[in-house]
Amino acid sequence: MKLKWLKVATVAALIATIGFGSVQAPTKTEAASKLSGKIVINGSSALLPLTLQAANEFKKLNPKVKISASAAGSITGPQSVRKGIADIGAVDWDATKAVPGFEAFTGQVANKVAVTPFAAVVNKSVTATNLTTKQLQDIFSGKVTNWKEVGGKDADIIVVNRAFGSGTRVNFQQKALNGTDFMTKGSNYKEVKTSGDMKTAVESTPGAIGYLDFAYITTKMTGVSINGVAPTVDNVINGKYKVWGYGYYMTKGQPTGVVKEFIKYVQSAKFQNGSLKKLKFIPLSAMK
Amino acid sequence: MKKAVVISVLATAIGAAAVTPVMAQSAVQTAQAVQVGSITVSINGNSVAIRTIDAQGVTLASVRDLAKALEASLNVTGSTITVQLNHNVVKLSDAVTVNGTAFVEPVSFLGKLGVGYSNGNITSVKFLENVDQVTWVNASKLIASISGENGREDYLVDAATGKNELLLTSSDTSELIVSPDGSKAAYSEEDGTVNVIDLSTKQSTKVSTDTSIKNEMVFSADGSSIFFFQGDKNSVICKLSLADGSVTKVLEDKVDYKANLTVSADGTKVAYFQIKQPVVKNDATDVSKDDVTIDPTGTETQAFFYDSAKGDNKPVQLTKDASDKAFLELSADGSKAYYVSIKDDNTGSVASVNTASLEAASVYSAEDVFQMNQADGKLIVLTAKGDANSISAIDPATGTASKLYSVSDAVSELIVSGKGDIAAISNYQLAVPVNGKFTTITR
Repeated sequence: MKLKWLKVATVAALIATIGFGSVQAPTKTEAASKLSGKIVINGSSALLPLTLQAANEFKKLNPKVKISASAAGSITGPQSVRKGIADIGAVDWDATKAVPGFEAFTGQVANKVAVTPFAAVVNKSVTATNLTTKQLQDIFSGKVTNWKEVGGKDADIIVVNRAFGSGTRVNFQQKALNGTDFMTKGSNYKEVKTSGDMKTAVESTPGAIGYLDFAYITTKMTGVSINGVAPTVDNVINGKYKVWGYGYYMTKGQPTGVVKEFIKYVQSAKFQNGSLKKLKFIPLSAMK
Repeated sequence: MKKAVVISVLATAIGAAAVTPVMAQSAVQTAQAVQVGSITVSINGNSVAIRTIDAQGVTLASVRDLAKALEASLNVTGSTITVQLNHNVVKLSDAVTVNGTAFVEPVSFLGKLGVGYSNGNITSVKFLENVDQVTWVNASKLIASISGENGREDYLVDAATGKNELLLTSSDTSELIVSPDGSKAAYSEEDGTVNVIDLSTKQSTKVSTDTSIKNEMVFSADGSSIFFFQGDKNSVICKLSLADGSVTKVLEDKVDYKANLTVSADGTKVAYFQIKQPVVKNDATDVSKDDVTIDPTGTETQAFFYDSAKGDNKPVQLTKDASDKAFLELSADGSKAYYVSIKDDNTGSVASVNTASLEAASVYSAEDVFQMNQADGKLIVLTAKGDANSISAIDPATGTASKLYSVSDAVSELIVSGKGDIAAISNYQLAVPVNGKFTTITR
């Protein structure tokens, strides 16, 4: 073991100073690792696994950049940016434009970072795993309350909904329910704050139906086919499955400095085709 | 002007009407046109036509044609032509031009470009471009990867020459990890299943059909298994046996978002960083009020340790201080954890924690530490002090640093093998020490 290091030390002794003389003139004035600063990210819980994975990888390349990421629903992303307590607001819709329930956030820039597919999910006890749009509308509005009414067993339907402000809720309402309203109360109704809470609720509640982005779907639940189309990445890309949206990083004006570099990393081919895909998101390039 | 005069003589000698040396374009005007011919040569196995002229029995070849065929860069600045192929740069101020086309004596020119020429066959090494992931295979080979919109290409690269061969083309796979003995590489597919490539035969074999998401895969020291974080939230630490493809849980403490997995040599002990999320409070009933707060109290990254022999799924918290932390490494015997501690002023130093007594110590703080890797019992660090950047080896027992190289400020990342082989990313190019001097082997 010592000999190996002796070899290295000998080389070191021979070379007092070695520059990279044969390298072309620098295209950057500063090495990437010299980036420093802090990035605070808040917003979508659907995007949180992606954000934290990107943060882990970015930090290995830029250890002096401190990244703090949290999630309490999409709406808190652009709110935090507007309030000046976050540099990036992660949100499941383009918050520079108004969507039902939320006005546009002016002065912010929507940086597209991912394609997020969403699915209706049911507890493993539920056998009705192929529903029409009408059936979904009736279930989530509370008109249909027993699974036998939509081809399943005689069992109560427990609707699990995300709280107002969720980007997953915005996307699901717009694209799976065609904009119809959710039920808001009742003994078979439950409301949760984050995707993690939704996952736990659907996994552990017999008869439950909710909705999640693909990243949160586990083997303890079933993704529901809508009008005979299964919730798969392939069906999103080939245009058959419509319940998906872009994930955005909102910034106050155009991003600069370490925030710009982090967003560039998330948008890079390496991350988009690597970790982002592994986490069940879809690369931006797939939807061109 | 001496050179121009010499070239003028040459130009006159070959009797070119429109022949002019680059440095004396107007110096020679004669009546007869030079015959521009063509020869076909083999360049890296491809037949290519190269324009030529005959200079009293000496064949001169078109600079532009050769550069194009070799995919070398060519720039003309004033009277100087600069041709670059990989790290070889040739500046021509004595080329002969015919109707605006520059010609040179090819054998000498190709030699200066580092290109072999024999009996009409020209061979060059085409460097990889824009590599974004590199790992060592053994002391003479690396794997370099290039990501694009359609997927990733992984190449085996000769460390001395940059010569490369395609190993794997894929679109939905994790980055390759290489076993400590360099005999095999592993990757996970989009569906979570794992393949292993025998690096001598290049044959790929599926070793596990387990479909869980696998992050931060790490080979065990003996190469018989792979450790990884399971799930999209890195909640569970698992071990995949390459012998039978079985996956066993090493730690399941129901805490999400672990990072930087590091494993002891015997595979029984693991360490990792725990990433906590700030607490967010909001009232979304009136969005315009922006009634949202983010409380980061107690969310600093902390190192944890777990001895799987205990089997209680209760990891031990190694650190509690408020510094930011990166590059966690567990010693081979699992007795110490090393990491780079980053203070509020952004200076980095190497710290250690005894995994049994939890005693913390400063290992190295003489220079600002930017990266740390463990190799053969030493800690290899990239450091900066003022404008001087260095690569050093630290003895973790004494904290003594031995400087291995002084390097340019452009060095942004080290790639260190478990045996101490060092490569560096400089200006987005891969550089390795060749005969003691860092030389770029990608573009």
